[in-house]
Amino acid sequence: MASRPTVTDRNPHPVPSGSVPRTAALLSALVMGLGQMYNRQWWKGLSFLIIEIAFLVVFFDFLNMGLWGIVTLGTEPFLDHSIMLLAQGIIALILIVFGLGVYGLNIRDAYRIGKIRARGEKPPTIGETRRMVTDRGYPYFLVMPGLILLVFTVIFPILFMVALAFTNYDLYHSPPARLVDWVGFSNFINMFQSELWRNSFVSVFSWTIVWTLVSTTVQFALGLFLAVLINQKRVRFKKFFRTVLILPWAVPSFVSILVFSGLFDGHFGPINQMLGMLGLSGIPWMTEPLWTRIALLLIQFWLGFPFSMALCTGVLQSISSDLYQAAEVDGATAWQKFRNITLPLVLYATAPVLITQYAFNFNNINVIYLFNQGKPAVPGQSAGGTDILISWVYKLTFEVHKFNYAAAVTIIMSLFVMGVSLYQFRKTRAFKEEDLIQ
Amino acid sequence: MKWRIWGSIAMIFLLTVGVLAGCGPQRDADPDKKEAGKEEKPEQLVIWENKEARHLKHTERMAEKYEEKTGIQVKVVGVDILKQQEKLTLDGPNNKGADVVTWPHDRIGEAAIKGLIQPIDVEEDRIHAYNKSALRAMQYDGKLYGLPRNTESIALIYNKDRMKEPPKTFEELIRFAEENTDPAKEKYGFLYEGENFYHDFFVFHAFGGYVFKDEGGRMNTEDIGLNNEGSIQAMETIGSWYKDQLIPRGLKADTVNGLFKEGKVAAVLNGPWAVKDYEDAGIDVGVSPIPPINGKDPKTFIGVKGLYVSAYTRNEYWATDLVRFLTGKEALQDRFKTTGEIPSRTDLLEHPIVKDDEQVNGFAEQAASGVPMPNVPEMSQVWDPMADAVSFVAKGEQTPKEALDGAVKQIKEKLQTQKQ
Amino acid sequence: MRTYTWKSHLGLVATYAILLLMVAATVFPVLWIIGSSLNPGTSLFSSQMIPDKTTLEHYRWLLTDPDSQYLTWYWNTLKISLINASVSVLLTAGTAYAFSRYQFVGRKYGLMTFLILQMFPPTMAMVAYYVLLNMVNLLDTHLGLILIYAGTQIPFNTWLVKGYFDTLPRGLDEAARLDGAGHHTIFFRIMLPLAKPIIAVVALFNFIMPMADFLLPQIVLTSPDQQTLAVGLFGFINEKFGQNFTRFAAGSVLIALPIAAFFLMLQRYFVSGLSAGASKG
Repeated sequence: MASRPTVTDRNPHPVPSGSVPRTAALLSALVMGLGQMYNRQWWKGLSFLIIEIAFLVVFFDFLNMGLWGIVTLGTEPFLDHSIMLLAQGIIALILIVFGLGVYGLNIRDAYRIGKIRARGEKPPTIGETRRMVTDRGYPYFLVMPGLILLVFTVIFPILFMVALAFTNYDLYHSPPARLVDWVGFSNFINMFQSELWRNSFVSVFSWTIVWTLVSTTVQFALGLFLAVLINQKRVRFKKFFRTVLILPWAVPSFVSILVFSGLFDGHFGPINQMLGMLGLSGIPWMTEPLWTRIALLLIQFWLGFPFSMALCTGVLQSISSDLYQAAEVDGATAWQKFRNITLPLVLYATAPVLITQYAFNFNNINVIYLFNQGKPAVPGQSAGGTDILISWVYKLTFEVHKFNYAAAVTIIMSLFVMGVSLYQFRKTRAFKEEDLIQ
Repeated sequence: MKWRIWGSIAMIFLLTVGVLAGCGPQRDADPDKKEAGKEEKPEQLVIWENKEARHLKHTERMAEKYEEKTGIQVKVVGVDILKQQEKLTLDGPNNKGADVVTWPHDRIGEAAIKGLIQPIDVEEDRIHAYNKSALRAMQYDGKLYGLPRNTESIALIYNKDRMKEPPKTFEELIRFAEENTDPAKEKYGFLYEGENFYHDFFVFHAFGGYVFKDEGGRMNTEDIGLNNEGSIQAMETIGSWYKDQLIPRGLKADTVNGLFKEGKVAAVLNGPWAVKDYEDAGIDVGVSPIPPINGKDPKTFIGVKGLYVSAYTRNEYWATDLVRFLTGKEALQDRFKTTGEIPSRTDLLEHPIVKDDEQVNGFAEQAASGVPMPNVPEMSQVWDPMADAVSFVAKGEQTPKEALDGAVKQIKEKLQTQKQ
Repeated sequence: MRTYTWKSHLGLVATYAILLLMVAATVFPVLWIIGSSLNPGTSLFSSQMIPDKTTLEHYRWLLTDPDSQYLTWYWNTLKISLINASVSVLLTAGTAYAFSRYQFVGRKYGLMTFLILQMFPPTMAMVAYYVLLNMVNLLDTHLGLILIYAGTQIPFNTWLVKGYFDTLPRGLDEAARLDGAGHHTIFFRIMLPLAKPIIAVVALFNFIMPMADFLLPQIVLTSPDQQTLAVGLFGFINEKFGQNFTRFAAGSVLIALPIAAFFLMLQRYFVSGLSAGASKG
């Protein structure tokens, strides 16, 4: 469908020499659009030129300041705000990458058209070009707004944090009175020499892993289990059950978590009062690490199962009943049917979601923090008994105003999670494109 | 060939970037800083007041008075009291900041280190009008950074139906608690949020404990007195209340309030902010200073709200003048009437409007003699370890000495990291 | 016809028992919070699930008291939620359509890259958002907040919607193309209407998100009258002084009810849309 110029042009141009593509590219590299003009594509050349001028006019001051800022991080306290300069510098870099993209495109275009001309063919007319752009450019047009937003909401924060990890930004190096400086890798080295980190790292890390695996796996298993139960043919009131069981998802989670912290209160919480009525003595939900961990897991199951249930219900409904009938003919038990048909199909379909959920729970600071602030405290360590890595790091670094350490640990943690997830993603086939186009 | 083209392009680009990075901002040799005539009256001053209706109402009224008096217009802008520091950091450099700002005194140290506020000049004789503790709260590193408006402290709040009059000593209060506590029936004589160092401090202080050594207006953060003899004794005393089951462990503020409002507790420790809520629940509320403990008048932690002069102001002189005006007798009396907050001036503390109100006076007396929460940023490393230490003792997991040694060790580690 | 053995009857009974148990566990906290909101007083501790004397006082206070900013927050949140839902749907549908039907640079790994990048903890990104919005003068504006919401939701939702588009037969758009329909026409007239279930899911997600998020607005919106419900509600119990649990409960009920209703209304889209999107992604 692309409207490339055809090779069988009947009116060959006066044949230019073989150096045309190079000259065009060089001209375009010098000033955007010049090569296009050399190629006799006046309108295109003019557009590129205007883009270049506009870019430079609009952004020159900003880029100038930003690049200077990110290199020096300011030179005069009170006048220069290092953190703002850093941010400005990062944005300047992003803009430059965008600019370079267009610049590269411009050169490539000049070179390509030059080649066409060198072959003695006619370059596409303005009308042809426009048609080609609207046709082949349509996906870019669709993706561009999202991409721009993504760059600022996802890429920018990451670059910003990565940059902070290499500075000395803390309370004693805070603008406006002080400037922030680049310090290389010293944060990564110093941080691990601090007693604070070493005394609790192992226990926090192991609980984080347990928390991530157990909370995600069980919330998913529970959702699947309920979906299967309700999906049985002979179960009635399906709609009622599905509706009610989806409720935890519909209530904002911070509300639920705070309510649970009231329900689990050791002395006056309804849960202990009910247990008391059953003749059981009160369980120290909020004051013993083990019980607090159990409470947290229960809460996360409660919060998480409806999503999995909804997801699995859909998958279950899409599984062809032929499979089960065939299995029944072979005399398979319910368990065998589940084990050999349902589970693999569901897991195959939902694996990517499951992976993101593991990553989500690894970083699930909300439930830990809102329920009991990572408490109860444990003697001899700086982390509370239920702190996971992220909540602990957050507490430590922000309490001591060590933003640089916060950034450094976050990077290390993120690399870990991203690495594991990437590995898992690649193992599932979901992202391997069996190309649907053509 | 292709490589050569890309190579030359890259060169051109590197050159441009290099040139840009070299430039940087053009600066005027002489930015019009504070030189511009100290006494010259500005047309307008900007003050950030806590964004709450009653606070704004008071300050706007005072702003008009100030304009009548000096001819300087005062623009009152509502900014949440806890967000002013962050906002000033961003707005100050762009000249959008305020001349006068306010926040609780325990954030002064941080602000001073960041250079957001500047020390102020106030005449000796005027200074004496302010309550000593409150004034002490405004000092950081030996310098005065602002003037106090209001002082807050906890005091003994009791249910008059269950406690005829406040006990004469704290020991008597504990005996009263022993006689009137029956957890099985949810009946308590005396409760407070013990696993919160803010509420525990007066006990530590009474036995000779301290957080950081106060060396003439400067806090020596190397010298921590939270595991000295006195502190250990204090912790033993607190621990005994838990051991004798007078106070349930893991107690939260919300539970204390709930029990008190149901009339299930005779007396609690809490601040003026709680009183209205208690009265709404139908409790006949009495307030008195905390009775002497270990033979000494208890000194609680106090929180002071002050006014500070922004480091970005161009009208240092008049901004300071405005601070003085807004912490003057007339202003703070108006503020008391509007917001009910206890003034930090001695002349008002002795005034009948405070003296004759039993409740207000209870808090005021306690506040007047309190110890300001240390305003050094190092203080934020103290709260959690100390609260945890009380929890460990309450649970019986550690002896008071072990718990306090552990807490101090942790505080020191945190401070070391903070300063690394 | 197979006959049910006692074993299978037992199985059915067990199924119902488990389901009812789950229903109880699900409903209990919800009922409890409704109960709390009808209690007099302010504290969590003294409130009961079935109060001795019920009162609508907290609702009255929220809705009519001059000190209450609840209605302002409600309006702010509704506005943010609605705009966010529409913007997000447009962005996401466009991006997903491109990923499903077109060839372009970055198509192969673009989505996965962003899904993985988003595992960077969002709590840490807050500082960056603050600085960024300040730079473009969008601090303390709803627009700034919406842009961040709309941006960060793209990867996951695009992935869902793309999965859904992939399930729609390609013959449809090809036939339209042969009939001379342009890109726009095919996208808006043919594909979008067909993707209604998943669009409903995405709209719902993005409608709910601002209602439940109490972290980002605290950073981005600095003045109280710009605040959203979640932050305001959170304030009722997070304040150092004057916690008010019952008022929080009442406020929560008022926010949870419309969401829950909306949720249940769209439920039938949910199951089909979500699973088709997720499983083909």
